[in-house]
Amino acid sequence: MRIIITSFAFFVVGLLSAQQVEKPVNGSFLLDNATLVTVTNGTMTGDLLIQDGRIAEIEESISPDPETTVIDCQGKFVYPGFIDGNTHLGLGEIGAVSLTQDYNELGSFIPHMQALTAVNPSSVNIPVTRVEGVTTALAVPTGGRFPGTAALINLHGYTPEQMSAGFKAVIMNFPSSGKRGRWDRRSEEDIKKDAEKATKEIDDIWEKAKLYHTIDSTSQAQGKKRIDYNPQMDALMPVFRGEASLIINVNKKNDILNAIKWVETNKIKAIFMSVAEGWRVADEIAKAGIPCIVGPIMRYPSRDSDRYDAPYKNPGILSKAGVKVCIGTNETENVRNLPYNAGFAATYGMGTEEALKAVTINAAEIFGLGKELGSLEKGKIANLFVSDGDPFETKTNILQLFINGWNIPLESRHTLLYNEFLKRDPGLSK
Amino acid sequence: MRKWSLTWACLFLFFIGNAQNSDKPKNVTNSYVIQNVNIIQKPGQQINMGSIVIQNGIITQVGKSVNIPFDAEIISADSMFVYPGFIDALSHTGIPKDESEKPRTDNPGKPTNEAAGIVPDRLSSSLLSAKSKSIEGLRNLGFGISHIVPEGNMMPGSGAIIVLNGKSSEEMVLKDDVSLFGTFKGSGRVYPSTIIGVLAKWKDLYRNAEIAKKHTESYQMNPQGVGRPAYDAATRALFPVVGKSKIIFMKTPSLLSIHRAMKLQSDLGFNMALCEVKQGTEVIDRIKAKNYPVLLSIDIPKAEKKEEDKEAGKDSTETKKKVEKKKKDVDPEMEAFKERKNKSIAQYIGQAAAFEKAGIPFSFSLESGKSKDLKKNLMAMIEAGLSETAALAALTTNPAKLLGISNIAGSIEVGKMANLVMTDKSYFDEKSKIKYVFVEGASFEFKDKPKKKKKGANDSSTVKVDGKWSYTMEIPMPDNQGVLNIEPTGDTYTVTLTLNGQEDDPEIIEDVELIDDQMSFSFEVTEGMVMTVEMELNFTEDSFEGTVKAGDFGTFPMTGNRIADPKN
Amino acid sequence: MRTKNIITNIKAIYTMLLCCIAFLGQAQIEKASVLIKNGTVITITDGDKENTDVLIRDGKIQSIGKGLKAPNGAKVIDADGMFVMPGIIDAHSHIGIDAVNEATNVISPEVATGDAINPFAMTLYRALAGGVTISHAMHGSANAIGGQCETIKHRFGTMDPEEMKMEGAPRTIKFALGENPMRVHGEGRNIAPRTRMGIEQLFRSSFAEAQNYTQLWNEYNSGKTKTPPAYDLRLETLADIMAGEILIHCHSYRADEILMLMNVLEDYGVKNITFQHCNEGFKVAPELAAFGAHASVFSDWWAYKFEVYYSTAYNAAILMKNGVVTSINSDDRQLIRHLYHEAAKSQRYGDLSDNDALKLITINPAIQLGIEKRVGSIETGKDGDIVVFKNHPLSIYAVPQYTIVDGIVRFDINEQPDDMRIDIDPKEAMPSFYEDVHDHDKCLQDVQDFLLHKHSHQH
Repeated sequence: MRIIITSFAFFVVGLLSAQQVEKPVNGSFLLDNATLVTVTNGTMTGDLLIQDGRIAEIEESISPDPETTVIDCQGKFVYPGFIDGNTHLGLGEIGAVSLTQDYNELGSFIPHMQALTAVNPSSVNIPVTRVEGVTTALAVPTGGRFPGTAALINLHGYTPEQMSAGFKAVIMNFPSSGKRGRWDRRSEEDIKKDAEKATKEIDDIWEKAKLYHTIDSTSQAQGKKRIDYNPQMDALMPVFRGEASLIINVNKKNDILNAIKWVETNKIKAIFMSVAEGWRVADEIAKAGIPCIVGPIMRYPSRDSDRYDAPYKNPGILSKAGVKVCIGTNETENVRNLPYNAGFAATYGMGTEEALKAVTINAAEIFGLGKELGSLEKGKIANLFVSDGDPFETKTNILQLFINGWNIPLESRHTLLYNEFLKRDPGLSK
Repeated sequence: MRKWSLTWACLFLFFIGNAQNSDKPKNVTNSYVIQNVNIIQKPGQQINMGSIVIQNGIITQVGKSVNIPFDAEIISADSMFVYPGFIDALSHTGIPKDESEKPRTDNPGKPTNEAAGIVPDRLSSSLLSAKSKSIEGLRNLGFGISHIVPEGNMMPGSGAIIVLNGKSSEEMVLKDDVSLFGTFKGSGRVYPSTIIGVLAKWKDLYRNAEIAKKHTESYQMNPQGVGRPAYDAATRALFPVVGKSKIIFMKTPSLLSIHRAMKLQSDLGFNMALCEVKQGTEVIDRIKAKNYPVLLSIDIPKAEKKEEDKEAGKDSTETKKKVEKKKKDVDPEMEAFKERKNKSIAQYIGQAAAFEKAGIPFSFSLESGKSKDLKKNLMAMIEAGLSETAALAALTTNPAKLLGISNIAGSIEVGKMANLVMTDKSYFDEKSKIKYVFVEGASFEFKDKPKKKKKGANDSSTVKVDGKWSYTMEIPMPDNQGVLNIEPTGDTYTVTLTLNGQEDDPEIIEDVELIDDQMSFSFEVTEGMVMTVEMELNFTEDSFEGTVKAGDFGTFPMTGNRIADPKN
Repeated sequence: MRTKNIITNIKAIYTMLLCCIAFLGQAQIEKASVLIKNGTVITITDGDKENTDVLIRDGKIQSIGKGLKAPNGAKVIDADGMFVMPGIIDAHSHIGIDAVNEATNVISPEVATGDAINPFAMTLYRALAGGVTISHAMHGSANAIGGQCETIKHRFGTMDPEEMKMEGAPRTIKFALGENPMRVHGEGRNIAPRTRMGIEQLFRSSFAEAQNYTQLWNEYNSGKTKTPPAYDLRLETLADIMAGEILIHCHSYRADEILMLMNVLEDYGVKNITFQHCNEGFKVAPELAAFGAHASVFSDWWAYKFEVYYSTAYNAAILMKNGVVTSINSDDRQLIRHLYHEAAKSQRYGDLSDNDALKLITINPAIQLGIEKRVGSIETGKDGDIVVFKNHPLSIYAVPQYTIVDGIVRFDINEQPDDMRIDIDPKEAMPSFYEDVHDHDKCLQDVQDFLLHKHSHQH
């Protein structure tokens, strides 16, 4: 292993556990003499102390008490853990084996489906993801109009509750007037009609929600027993009342414009997701003040006529227009590519600093956790990692990883297989 | 409506019963003289104010002056124009769509030839139906001869040359088994299902046929010591193709399909004509170098009118403002898209002119698209630079030569089949109308429909059509009178139609079109027999005249008078 | 061989005549000259050279050195501060072809993707914009013995599909093991193979049948019998594979199936195999190296189906370090746009050196396609296929600036319009918008929908 550890005790633990499963370690850690990329307060050289799961101190120099494990970070960099705004992490295991996929329930209007319930803490995908510096991800259900409620999870824990990062949101797939794929043989006319029909369905749902809200609030005020069990409407109420965010998945230019109108008409606290053609209407999105979970960034252009790099430039254009942007890979087993999505965004107009914000503080703020996650600040949750360089670069190695203050072993199926098979034993023999 | 069905059913019986003496009297002669006519003998060769004599389906005299046979019916053409009957170089005319259910194949990798769409042994003559409406349709456009091929997947069958008149397929077929129709269409479900499967199968079948032909021939010469060649109808049908005595007409609408066909042809070496070509401009030089016969499609995209043109003529300040406003919020990307699209359209429309310019003789095929659009599309091609001479050649001499029937068709010359098309003005005049078509001496006359009364452009309908009208249809049946009630509904009308004596069983039609003073609508008769009845009526204040079209039975005059004023 | 004897006789003169005519009619492959000045030249086979010029003359690299002069009319590219590397080669893709799978028959070597090239495909231009000059347009993985593939040069702008083919590149064919043929034929249609056992026997019976076919033709050609066998393009192609005329590229994942095919090939004396995907290649790296088999792998794809669940992104590094000629491929219209980045992942996953990482997308795929004498490195005499990068190609900040094929600048980041379509639809002005984010099923494209699970990745 490449980790440089000065604490003797920790070294011994490492040796002992070489024969067995490495476990995360909790306690007090001092990241000593590191380059701290705080994201919100610039970059500085200094020490960072982790205690009780949080960043206890950031100072030019901190003297550790004897209980503290000191990790020498001379020449190393500390970054806040990356946050992916759109994944199936924990909800899907093996793509082609449908019974291992828990993100797509039957039904179209099922906002009450809770992603957190189905998050599998033991998913092999989770260690594979976190060892690359991604500490937090939004687990998103898909399919239909209202596929359920997404949950933000930290990538360590043995129960969904332990993993929960404290944010949930109902997902809505806005009616699309685009083609679904190359197999979609509908004419542009038919597609338009389908989208209009779907929009009407949403309006109908909102009409019903309005009535439900009236009945529900009256019954609560008067202490009366409410009408029958309606979990769908119950799930929608916080959104309807403007108390909770609704994440709206929308891509095509005209659909985005329609979604803005819809959001404004119904006074909804909205977050847009995917937003492939955001670059065409960046000013309108900025004007509406709707934050965006953009991505994947490394996607194929949506139209044959689009410039080849339109998807790469999308987050930069949105960000420059004043939209608060975070990034979603829409991945399951390869959420680990989040830093590279950010890297492409950085390269194609967003700049490294903004791209870094997109995968840290912006995501935290969009999810209402700006005070808890997304930067190296005293008091924040200790989700962070140590690297030997720019984490967007593939050459860079992640050396230490902390989630909720737990020092997580940098092990995954991929590293284990590497260690076993680099020099296979026995090698070639008959 | 029961009564309507009965009426038309009776009409049907009437036609059957009177097959020998229908409403048209039987011809009393097979000789015609067309006088005072401008004869375009063939592209570029014209006799002004000449005459043509037709006897027993053959042109017997052409010239400034002719000897009039004693038994001839004289058609005074009154300065009309007569052209050689058009020849359709490839279409599916007269072949009903194959809607039979295909047998299920358990193993999609080893389907029967039929399921795979490999039926080079299938004859067009065996599929031809003399009753098909498409025959009349093509004839009405001026065609006398058609090269027909079946529809299908990679090898749908062999082509036949037919004359577009006759009571049975036997009467119509001029030459059978003249060509092989080929496409690159996979069957979708069984092998070959895709373009790669289809091309592999072409190679496999062709090379197999080459060897099988040699084998069969050597066996026929001396079977001793040689294994008996397997008999396979599809392979046998390819022998004339590998022997180069039969041409493959390959369907190649797109540029890519042309490239693929040319590659296949140069790999295998068969004789090939490219047909239904829509995107050939790019490869004109290669087509010329390889001397492939070419059949250009008459199916072209519609040119978009420019916004300014649409507004032209309306010179009010308001429209000017509109144009200016539009100019203000133009999306430059969209404008560029439109420009590219228009350029593309222009290339499709300009294809024929480009081929003419390159000196490549071509014919027209009517395999896809609406044949009805022929004239309109020809005019668009001419506007894009195609000469009238080349257009005419593509409809006459060129296909005649390609199909090997130059000795009997393609021009107005003594001894040739009397296939003619006569128009009131030059055919290539935008407003020309076809007045007569002759197919092998049989005459088909087209009379003007009752003229529409033109009113002021902005003041569309001047006559109040709502109210009750009595009507008479000139059909050879007793039940030919009734009442027509027209009521306005919203911005359209509802028509209630009854037959006298059957007022309790009305036909109610809601889809009614009224343009100027012409009302048109149609309804389905489903009981007893199935057909569409279409009415087209021109109204004045207190009467109307028009036509009623009864399915395949024909079109009959129809007149009517107002019997009640809507206000009363 | 075989039928060729007959056909050759019949056709010899005719073909010659035809060729002469064809030559007149056919456009030549376009080539040009270009001088790339002052870049850091990454030769792959001869180290990196700073402040060095590369001169391409009439489509071939004429010289590499300092202070080179551009011939008259040649374009000059100032690559000062930039990186000049060989055009990237993708040993596994499905771009630029109109059909991928003839999925109706589990044995279909007679079909060829070269018959379905579509030079207008925007995927080709977009691959060029990612520095890829050559791709291996493969048949899909629905069939155990799939179709022949085509090595294409990304001469985007050319209208003739024939001109996209890399002239002189060896013939190649797609084989497929494991879940895909089992799913399409066994599970989907109840036709063998439904297991890896069934797949093995398909190879054995096919090879045996081809041997028999060759035997029959030999007997006929030598006059032993007067009865010619029926011509069969399928068996002809199989016989060509056995004669070593066609390189095998086999879709494979699991270690056991990789070993199985090597055993079968050994029994029939067939060499020249590249295992495609080869996700569990790392488990049998010593065996692969001993057989001389190559591996063309994903940088990090895994878990999209059961047979790739026990994968590692360190696969390429393990294979390279065990002496297997390894490439990284895309199999995807998006991944092909940043293969340089996919290669760079081998540094995160296994610490490969810069040159080894770049070999994965240059000389190694060239070896696997049998075109290493023509492309894959910057050497004099090789094809003028070059990509010029701003920033090092293995950096996340790398941006391709120019992509050159046969000395022609086919991608230029500054000079070209956004809309690069060639074949314009005369019916719709605005090109359609496509929602699909995951288009990960090319390998099973053209397989009827009912045979596939929806929403799953099917490489």
